[in-house]
Amino acid sequence: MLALTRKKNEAIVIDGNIEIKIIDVQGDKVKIGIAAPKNVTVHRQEIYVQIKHANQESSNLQLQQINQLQHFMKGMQREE
Amino acid sequence: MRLNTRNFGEIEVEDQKVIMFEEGIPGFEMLKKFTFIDSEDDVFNYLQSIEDTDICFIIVDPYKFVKDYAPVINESYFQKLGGGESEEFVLFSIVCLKNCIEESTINLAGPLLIHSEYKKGIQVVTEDRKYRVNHKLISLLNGER
Repeated sequence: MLALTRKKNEAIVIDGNIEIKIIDVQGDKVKIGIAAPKNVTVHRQEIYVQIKHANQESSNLQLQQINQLQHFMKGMQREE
Repeated sequence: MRLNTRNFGEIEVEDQKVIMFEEGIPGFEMLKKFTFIDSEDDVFNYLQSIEDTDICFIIVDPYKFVKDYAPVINESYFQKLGGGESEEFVLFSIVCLKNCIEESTINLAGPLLIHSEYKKGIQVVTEDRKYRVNHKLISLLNGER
């Protein structure tokens, strides 16, 4: 991994069209500004990891669970 | 085409019912083609992988659980699906069924964005921290968050 030292208000440019700027540094928190083309997605890594784990957990569906869910929903609809 | 699925047995999928996820979804990057399967109730539906017939997700319309659901979605996601008017896009949330319904959760931080005309989809990593990947379904049904 390339490691660069930057001060507040300094920036790096990736591939000529993505700019990452250090906006503020306070203790162990760094505020970063990102300017990128509209087709570039930027997100917090930990949210991505949470979504990945949630997907893995959600994908392992058993027929029994589906039946249970449909049974539950029929009960709910009868109550209404 | 005919698919022999683990949970729904043999199903027929017409070509125009195939939704392309060109990037896959996180954790399933290799799976690009999915199709919707309706259920008997009007809340839960299924997103079935075409390439791996064992893989299937329960999906819901998040607005049925959170009326004012308004995640911040970066413009890039709309662009990746081909852009267009906002009414051409639909959001779904993935439900994680646990051992009992009471423990089951809904992922509001990573909704599926679908372009209904182009039949393309992508999973969004929302930018705000208002929503989590694991809101309890039951609490939402009871109006809590």
